[in-house]
Amino acid sequence: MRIDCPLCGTRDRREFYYSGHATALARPAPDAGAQVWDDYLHNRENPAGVTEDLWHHEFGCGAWLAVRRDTVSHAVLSARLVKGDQL
Amino acid sequence: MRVAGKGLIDRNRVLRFTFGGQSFEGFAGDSLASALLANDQRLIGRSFKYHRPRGIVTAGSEEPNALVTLERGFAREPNSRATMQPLYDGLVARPQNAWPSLKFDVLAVNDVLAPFLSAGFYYKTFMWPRKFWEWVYEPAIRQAAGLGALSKRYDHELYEKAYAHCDVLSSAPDPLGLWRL
Amino acid sequence: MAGMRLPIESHVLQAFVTEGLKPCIDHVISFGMGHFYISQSDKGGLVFGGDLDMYASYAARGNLPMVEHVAEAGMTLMPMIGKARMLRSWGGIMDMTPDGSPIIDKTHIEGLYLNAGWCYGGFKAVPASGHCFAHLLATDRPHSAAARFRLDRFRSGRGLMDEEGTGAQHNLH
Repeated sequence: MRIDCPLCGTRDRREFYYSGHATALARPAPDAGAQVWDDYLHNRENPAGVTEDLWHHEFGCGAWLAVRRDTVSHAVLSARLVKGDQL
Repeated sequence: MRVAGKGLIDRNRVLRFTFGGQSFEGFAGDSLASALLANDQRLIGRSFKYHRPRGIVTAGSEEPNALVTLERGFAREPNSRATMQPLYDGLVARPQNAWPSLKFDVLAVNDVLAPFLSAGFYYKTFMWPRKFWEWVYEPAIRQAAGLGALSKRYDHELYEKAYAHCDVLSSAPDPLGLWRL
Repeated sequence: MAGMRLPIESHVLQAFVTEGLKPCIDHVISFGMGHFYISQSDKGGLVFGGDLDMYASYAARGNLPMVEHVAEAGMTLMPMIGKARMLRSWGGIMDMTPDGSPIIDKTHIEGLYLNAGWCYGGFKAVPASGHCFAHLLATDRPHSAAARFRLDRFRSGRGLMDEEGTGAQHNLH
């Protein structure tokens, strides 16, 4: 599996650390309540198809990427940089 | 069995090898299979379950029958296809899945039962008495299964990677010669 | 289908089988530090595997980096298996929960019960999990042995069964 880092180019999957679903970017307000926080931290769509994950280019530039890929075919569709203040 | 004057072998370089304890000669450029055929060796192995006699059927990687164990020092490489092994001087190959010898294999008696055993017979057998499974049936089945055997001894072959340990690792230069003690 | 989102992420776990060999390993060996396990089937093949590929996947096959990692762990543990040939490799879909423990519970939907999230330990647990689940279906109350496998333990934070002590986070199990 290769991921196109916008800064470094196409790199092997081994250079990246997989964090989880990109839903992590939509952080709720601290007082949003237990149900909202539970959804944010634990509950997942988990699709068999196109999904968006967060990958950290650990052994490269260190950038965080939001990668759209297909969980059935492992095709990597796109990768974009995630802005720092979104994490 | 060789055609005189033809082939990709170098008839000037003779290589010696053994198969099943017997010594043979071949030429540089032979595969183990071609050298065995040149020496009129047709029986190379035995089939998995019924121990039927098996010989070389192909000239390449698709070979299903001529599976031998190659030995080099303590290293043993089981299930090697004779058609894929280039011959080298001192090659030691042993047949697999036959005891005590390829020609006289005790388990070939299974073939006598073959007409009475349908495909998948083992799904309905070996069930009674229950205790026999762990102590009688399974050990016997495990011993009879498999073709080649791994060597459990340390082999001195060279590998690309190693997982090695030491107490102290120094990668600094050694001007005082301390590490040459 | 029921419109529910579950605390489950599906990851892929690869497994491998070698060609048939005479008996050389007579029990299951687990190499914790290498995330590696190996045993020998009755047919002679060595069955072994390692860690998850560590990304969400339904492909039922993994990628080569993990194959190399598993082979390295195997060679570290017992170099003799290096001479055997890998005959088959495949990947299974593991339903991973944040704390690595399963969910046997009813849902907020009438008549819908869950027995999921077994991560990579489900096969061994089949008889007991089936028994507990049958009890839940028949009596609408959890079996005492499975009483802690609640769906809401992630929301409440109570009763998390986290075998590695790493916390209830998806990518840590």
